[in-house]
Amino acid sequence: MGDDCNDLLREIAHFLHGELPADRAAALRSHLDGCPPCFESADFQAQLKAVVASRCIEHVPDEFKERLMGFLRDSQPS
Amino acid sequence: MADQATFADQAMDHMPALYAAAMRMTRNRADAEDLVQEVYLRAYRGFSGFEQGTNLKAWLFRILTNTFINTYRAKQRRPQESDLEDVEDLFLYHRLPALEQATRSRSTEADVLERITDAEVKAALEDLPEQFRLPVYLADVEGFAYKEIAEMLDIPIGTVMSRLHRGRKGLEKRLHDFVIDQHLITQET
Repeated sequence: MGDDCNDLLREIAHFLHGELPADRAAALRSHLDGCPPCFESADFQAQLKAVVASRCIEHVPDEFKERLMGFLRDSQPS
Repeated sequence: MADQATFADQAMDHMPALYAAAMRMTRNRADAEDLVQEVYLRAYRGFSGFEQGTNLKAWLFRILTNTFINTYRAKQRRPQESDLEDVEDLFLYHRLPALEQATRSRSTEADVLERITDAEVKAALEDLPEQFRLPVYLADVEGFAYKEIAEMLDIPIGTVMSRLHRGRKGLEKRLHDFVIDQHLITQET
């Protein structure tokens, strides 16, 4: 990997989040097309991000949901 | 102007997402439930100030982060850690020695990633110091834009980006440690 790659790697996360300005995104996309190691790194980061997001689901206990609904009902002005 | 009668209809849809975030923020169920309840109470009372058609989820998450920072952070049992060891450029990808030797096939990497469990991801997130955990959660689990996160946390967007960079690397390092512990890598050597 070259020095260009090291600079660009920092931007991959922001790119994946859709936060790079159009010109930077285009430049990065074109680098990824021509640089297999960077492409694989970007691909890995994207997969890791998807895994993290999918593993954070919490089941809400029914008891809590009912308690919350009741609490809000009790909070209504009479 | 939004009417409180419509509050239950609209706001309860986002409760699972708020609950999940509260769990990672407070790191215990009792505090998480108190926090969510507090958030809904504040949201309910302030609902007339919510502009219909704007992002309700972001509005609720703003109340959540605000309430957490002002009310619950002081109560956290673990001392506030401000240091995150420097894990600059420590990619999980490059640190899997078996993969460095073997052909980097997509199925091998995907296999390792898919074996990461819910418990490991949640623990890895909870191990992050708060100032990194919150931006990482809001960005990578909930998908909020950096600008929205900056507003929620009341920090400059540049700070969001630098905390995200360090937080994401910290998360990756922690997940890498879990993967090593599970011998997913050593079975190759």
